[in-house]
Amino acid sequence: MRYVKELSNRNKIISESTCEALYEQQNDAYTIKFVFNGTEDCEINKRKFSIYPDTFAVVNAGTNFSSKIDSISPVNTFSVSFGENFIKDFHHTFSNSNESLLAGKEAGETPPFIESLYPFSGDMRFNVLHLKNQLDKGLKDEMLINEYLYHCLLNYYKIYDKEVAQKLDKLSFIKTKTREEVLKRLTLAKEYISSNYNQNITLENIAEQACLSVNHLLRTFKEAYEISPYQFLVQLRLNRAKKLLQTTTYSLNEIVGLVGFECPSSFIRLFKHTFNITPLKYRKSRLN
Amino acid sequence: MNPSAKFFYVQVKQLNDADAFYANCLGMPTESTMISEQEKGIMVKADHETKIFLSEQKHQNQTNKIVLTSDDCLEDYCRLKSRGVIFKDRPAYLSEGLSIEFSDPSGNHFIILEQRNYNED
Repeated sequence: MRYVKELSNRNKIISESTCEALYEQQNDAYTIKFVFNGTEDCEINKRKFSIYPDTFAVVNAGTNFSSKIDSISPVNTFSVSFGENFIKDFHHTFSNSNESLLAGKEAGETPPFIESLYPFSGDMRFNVLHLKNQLDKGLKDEMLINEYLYHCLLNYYKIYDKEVAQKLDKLSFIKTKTREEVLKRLTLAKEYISSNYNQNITLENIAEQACLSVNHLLRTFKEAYEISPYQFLVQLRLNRAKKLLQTTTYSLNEIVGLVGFECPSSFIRLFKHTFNITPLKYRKSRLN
Repeated sequence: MNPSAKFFYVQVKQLNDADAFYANCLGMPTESTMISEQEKGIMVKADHETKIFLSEQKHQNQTNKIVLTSDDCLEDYCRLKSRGVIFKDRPAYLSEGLSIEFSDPSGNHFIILEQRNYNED
């Protein structure tokens, strides 16, 4: 199933549910890509990553982008592209105070987004789910769709502030350019962990992907995110295991294997330590 | 909209104006009722569970702040805006969720809140 909703202001939404797909194109507008179940494997400028339901990806206009879906069960993807004027107006309103808006200050250039994976949670998740539900039911009201899209951008700017601007401040380098470069590389590290969380990945692998030495990676990752890359990996595995417990009937042993843990007992211990409940009790509580 | 409380008693300046606002702008069914033996009022069915009793006279149990809950605040915002409701601001994010605010012609303060559980899996 696939539908495309193109609005008069050139905002565009594409929803698709498919087992197999292969796209390769130059992205023509700022786009935010979501996956509601399954995985979409993407490549941006020769950089590979996977979008899972707990993340979303941002792709700038003009970027060469390709994606691939190859799954037994249908993968539901949802992508939102913003018209140039819509995003410019939004950026202008968001960046300027009420006073300067009233004084008719010129809209500044919309900055390119850092193309990466961001956490799909909180208000962004609520608003996008509402939009998707409405469109699935056949919503045609452009005013309402644009309101959802406005809030989608608002939520993204807040996430960007938390995930990029605030992390930059945490890095201890004096030069802004150095901080930006290091954060960019840490973003690559996080992307690599998120996309390969179920593989047997090592610190050396992560450091290589991020073009950092192992020591540099460990120090700067902890500085920016307050946890080590390994702790980030374990958290990710536990959260994705939690989702599988909630949404599938896979056995515990299958889930342990699917999320990359080697032994069920250490998974159960870590799960209980993190969520204060055993995996099976958690699954039972969700069923009730 | 699913108002969180069952009954609200609200004082309005003029029943006719209030009736027009609640019925035409908010789209809520209204009907004449008796607030007491002597006093006429209007009952507003905010939804199948909640009723708002409007009267011109002052009573002790009245409130001027009505909180209605919503499944989708942005949908309610756009729907009511297109019906002519003037909001104080654009929808705003609170720690409990997303909300919008407006007043009725008598100055009673309405909050529509979409409660969001940010800790839910």
